[in-house]
Amino acid sequence: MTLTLQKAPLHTPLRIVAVEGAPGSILRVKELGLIEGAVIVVRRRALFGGPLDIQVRQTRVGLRASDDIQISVELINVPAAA
Amino acid sequence: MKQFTVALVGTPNVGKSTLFNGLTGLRQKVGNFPGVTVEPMVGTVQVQQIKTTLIDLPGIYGLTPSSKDEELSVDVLRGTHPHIPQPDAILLVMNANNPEKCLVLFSQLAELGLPITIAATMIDAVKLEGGTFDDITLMHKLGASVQSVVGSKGLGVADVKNSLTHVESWKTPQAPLPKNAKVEERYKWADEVIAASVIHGTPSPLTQKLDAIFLHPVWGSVAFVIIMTLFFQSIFTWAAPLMDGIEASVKWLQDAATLLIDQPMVRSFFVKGLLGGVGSVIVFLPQILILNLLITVLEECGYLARAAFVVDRFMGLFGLQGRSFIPLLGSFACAIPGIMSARIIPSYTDRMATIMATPLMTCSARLPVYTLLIAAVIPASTMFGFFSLQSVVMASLYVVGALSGLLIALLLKRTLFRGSVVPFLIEFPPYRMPSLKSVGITVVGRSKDFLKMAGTIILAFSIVLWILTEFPRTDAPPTASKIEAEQMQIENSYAAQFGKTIQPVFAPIGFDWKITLGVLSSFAARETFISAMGQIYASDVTNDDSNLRTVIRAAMPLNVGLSILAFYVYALQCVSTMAIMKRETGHWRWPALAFAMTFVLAYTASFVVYRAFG
Repeated sequence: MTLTLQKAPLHTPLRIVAVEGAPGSILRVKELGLIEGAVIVVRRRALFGGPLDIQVRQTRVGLRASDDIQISVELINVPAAA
Repeated sequence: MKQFTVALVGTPNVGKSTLFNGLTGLRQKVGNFPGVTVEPMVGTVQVQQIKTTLIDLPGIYGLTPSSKDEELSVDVLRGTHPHIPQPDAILLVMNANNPEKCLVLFSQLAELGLPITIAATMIDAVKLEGGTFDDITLMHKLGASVQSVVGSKGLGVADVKNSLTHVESWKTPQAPLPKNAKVEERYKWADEVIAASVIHGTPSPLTQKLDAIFLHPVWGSVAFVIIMTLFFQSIFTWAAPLMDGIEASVKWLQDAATLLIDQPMVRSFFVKGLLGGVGSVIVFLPQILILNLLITVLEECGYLARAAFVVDRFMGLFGLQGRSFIPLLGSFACAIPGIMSARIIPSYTDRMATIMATPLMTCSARLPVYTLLIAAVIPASTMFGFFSLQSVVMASLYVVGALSGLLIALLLKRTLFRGSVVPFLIEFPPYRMPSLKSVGITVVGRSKDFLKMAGTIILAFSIVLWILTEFPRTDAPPTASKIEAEQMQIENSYAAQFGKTIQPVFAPIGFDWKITLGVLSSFAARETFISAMGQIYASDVTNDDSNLRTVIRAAMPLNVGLSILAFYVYALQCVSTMAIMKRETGHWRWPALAFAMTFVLAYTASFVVYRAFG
C-alpha cells in the first residue's frame, strides 16, 4: 500500500518508494538522505498543514509538504504487493 | 615558501564554524575580495613560521548549489569564481555522528582533483552514545587522511593545525564514483563505507525529549513565544545600562572638548559633527552585540532551526517560509544584520521579498524617536485602568510595522517575486552547548563589521549635516544671548533653507520646516532626529531629553506628533540599510523601490492620522 507522506501515520517506520517533483527541489531532498528505499519515521506534523518533522538515518529534517515535492511511502511491515 | 590556501568545506550543522574559530582564533576577517557580494570568512593558521590561509566556505551538500551562499562555495571549489582563486586543497569537516551526508559530498569533491583531508568532529558524541568510529579504515577506504577533533573542547585542533601547515604532503583521493552518478548511487557507496568503519550508538534521548516540547504543535508555539519575549526583553534591558554608559561618556567627551577648544568653529565641529556623529553610532553597539550574541547562541544550540519549523506555517500566510523569520527577527534590532542574514534563504524570490520587508520591522534606532514623541504628545493616562496608554501606543507601533512588512512581502510575492516556490526544507541539528570561545569570536567579528560599515556612512552624514547647519555663518547682534545666536544660526543655515524649500511637500501631513529638517536629517540614521530636533529647537545647548520633551510638548499638537510617529513606522530613512540592501541584492533598483514604497506608505499613513486627529 503506497501512501503520500502527508497521509502517513506518525511514529511508524516507512520506506520511501518514490521521490517526485521539480528537479531543483528534489535534489536537496535526496541529498539530505530522503531517497528511494530509505527508511524514515514521521515524528510530528505542525498545526494547520504546516511542515513535517522527519527522521532519516541520523538526520532530522523539517519539510513543508507541497506540490513541488511528492514523497510516496509504504508501511514497512506490509508486503509491497498487498 | 608558498603560502597555501585551504578551503574549509562541509555540510551544514557539522561544527564547521566552531572548528574554523578554533583553528584561526581572532586571526580572521571577512574576506575582502573585490566584486564579491557574499563574502566568506578568511583566517590564517600558523605553526612556527609556516602560515596557511583558510577560507571558510558556506555549507554545501553537493556541487549543485541551491542558494547564493552555496553558489559561492561551488564556484570557488571549481575554480570558476571570477575573483576568488581556486584553493590548493580542501579540509572537509565531517560530523562523525552523521557521516553519510558528508561522504556523499566527498564523492563529488574527489572529482575536483584537489588534495583532501577530513576533520571528523563530534567523536565524543559517538563514543558517548556507545558507538565506534574507525578512522584508519575510513582513511583506507577514502584515500584521504582522517583526523579526529572535538571542536567545542579544542581536542585534536592542534593536529589539524599541524597538517594544515604541511599541505604539500596531503593525498589527492580518487573519485569513487563516475561523475554523473545519482544521489541514490552515492548514498549506496557511502553506506558501504560507513558499514565498514562506523558503528552508530543509541542516540541520546536529550534531543528527542527537547523536541517533544520545542516542536510540539501547541507547546512548541508557546515555547517560541516565551523565548522570543525573553529575547527582546534581554536586548532592551541588558543594553540599557550600557547605552546609558556610552551616552554619558560621549557627553563627557563633548563637555571636555567644549572646555578645551577655544576656536568656536573647531569646537563645534568636534562636539557636534564628530563626537555627535560617532556617539550616535556606538550607542547602538550594545544592542547589536547582544542581538548577535543571542542569535548566535540560539543558532549554535540548535533552537533556531526549530523556531523556523514552528513559524513556517505562519510565514506561509504571507508567502514566505520559516527561514525568513530569522532575518526579520534580527531586523528588530537593526535591519543591517537582518538583511545580511537573509542569505540563509535558498530561494531567490523568498529572499528578495524578505529583504524588502526587513525595513518595516521596528529597529532599535526608531525606539528613541518613539520614546521621545510618545512621552511628549501622548497623555500619561491608563486604558481600562490597567494598561498605560503610552505603552499601548508603543506596542501598536511595533505590531503595525511588522504586519505591514509581512503584507508587503505577500504583495511582492504575488507580483514581482512570483515564480517557483522552493519548499521549506531544514535540517535539525542535535541540541548542544554552544562553545563560548566560538560564540565570542563570531559576535566580536560581526560587531566589528557593523561598526566599520555603519560608522563610516553615519559619520560622513553627520559631518555633512554639521556643515549644512553651521553654514553660512550668521553674525548675531552682540545683544543676543548664546541660545538666541544658535537659533539664528540654524534658521539661516543651508539646512533651514533646504527644509523650508521642501516643507510644502510635507505641509499636508502637518510638518513645519523644523520637523521636515529633523525628518530629513534622520536619513543618516533615525536616531539623529533627536539630536537634530535638539539642535533645531535649540531650547538648550544640551540634547537633554527631558528639556526637549517639554519644548516639543508645548510646540506640537497631538495630531502632528502622531503624524510623525506614523511616518517613522514606515519610512525607510536609513542610508546604511539602503547601502546594505544594494550590496545584498546586487542592484540599486531594490533599495530605490523599497524607499519609494515605504515613502508612499509613510506619507499616506501620516496624512490619515493627521486628518483623523486634527
